[in-house]
Amino acid sequence: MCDSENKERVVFTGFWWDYCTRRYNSEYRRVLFELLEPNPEATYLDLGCGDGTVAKRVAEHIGTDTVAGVELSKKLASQARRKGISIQRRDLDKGLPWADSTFDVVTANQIIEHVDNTDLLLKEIRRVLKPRGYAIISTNNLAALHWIVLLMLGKQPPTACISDEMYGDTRMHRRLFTMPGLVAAVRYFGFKAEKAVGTYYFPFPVPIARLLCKVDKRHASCITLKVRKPCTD
Amino acid sequence: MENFNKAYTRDTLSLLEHDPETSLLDLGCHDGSLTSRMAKRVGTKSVIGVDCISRDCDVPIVKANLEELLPFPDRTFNVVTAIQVIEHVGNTDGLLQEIRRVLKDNGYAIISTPNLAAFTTIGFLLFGWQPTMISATDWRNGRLNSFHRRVFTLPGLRQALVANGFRIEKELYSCYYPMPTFLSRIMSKIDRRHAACVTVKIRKG
Repeated sequence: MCDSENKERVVFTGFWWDYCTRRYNSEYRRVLFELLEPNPEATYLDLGCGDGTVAKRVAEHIGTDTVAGVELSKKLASQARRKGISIQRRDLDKGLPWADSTFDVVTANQIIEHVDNTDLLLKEIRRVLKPRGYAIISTNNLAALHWIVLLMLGKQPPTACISDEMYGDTRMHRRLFTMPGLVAAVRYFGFKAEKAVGTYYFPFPVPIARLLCKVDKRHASCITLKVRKPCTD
Repeated sequence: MENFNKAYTRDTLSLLEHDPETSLLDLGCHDGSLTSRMAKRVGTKSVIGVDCISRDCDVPIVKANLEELLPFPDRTFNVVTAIQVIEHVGNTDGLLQEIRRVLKDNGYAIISTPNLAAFTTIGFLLFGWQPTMISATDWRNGRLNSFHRRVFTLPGLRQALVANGFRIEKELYSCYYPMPTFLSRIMSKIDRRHAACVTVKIRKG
């Protein structure tokens, strides 16, 4: 339905945008690794694990070999399987196939904004976590500086996707979070929000971005939350 | 301050054309109070409402999920309205395609939705808060409520409508919060990109 003219307008490209996107990814991963606790006994689950590259690196940081993952795409799932991850091909809107209290660590990176049923996802993460287990959730920040600037100009921020079809029929963002919004949501579902970190600041180079994240994390490009399931249920 | 509900009701009614021969479809009709007002304005008796919950309704109601296909044949209605509905539907393209399908060739649709670039929303974001129009969960005050799935700014809405084969005929803006009513009406005309409520009239293009 959409012609090439429309496609050009929704896909952002350009040298600086690509640079920023790469830094966005590397910075949230750096923070993710920092938030992990080494524990060779741990069982680990990555939701929306893609080809499993990041999941493997997370497992290395934890020091564990027991890695499970969920990925909907057949191609990516088979790539991850080859890396030794036990993959379930599954839609995250339909819940998780594991028993209660199975995992010590769950990560959901840049996933929660794509899921229709946010509440179910958070409930399911809590269910499969062992008591005292923790989850790390990262997502795009709606209150990011560059999105506010676009809104001031009255423009549609690309994070608030207007269509799935225009982006090639992948499931695009369904919900948008700010740091206080996400913290309130995880608290509602019975997690203890242990740490809320802002990472990367579009469109700045990394050293300035890191400084800005320290000064004003609420307007950082990405939100990373470390949440824990309390031991008393 | 300008009342949001009154504002979109006024804008919607003003975009309707009086024509007693018209058949009207209202998507997400709720209790049908606005639907019957719209039917009265158009001057027609041929009106159907669609909602995902069957409830007591002032107009004949068909239960259907707007994420899926509409239970009507092609080219059935002259007017389709979706008032404060499109932002609740995840499958935006599907909904717009379905509206286009059930519309007669000379038919028009009216779509009303809140504006993501509203002045107040930007204010919330400047404080880093979650804007009230974008809920982080479907739970509100202990009740489950399907909340906004997609949020539009003016250019975003236009782009989605045009990409799905519509021609935009008229756009109305209202509710420039937090201004008092008379200033809000003026500001909505001067700086429409930041008004809180957008109502558009579109035709099959």
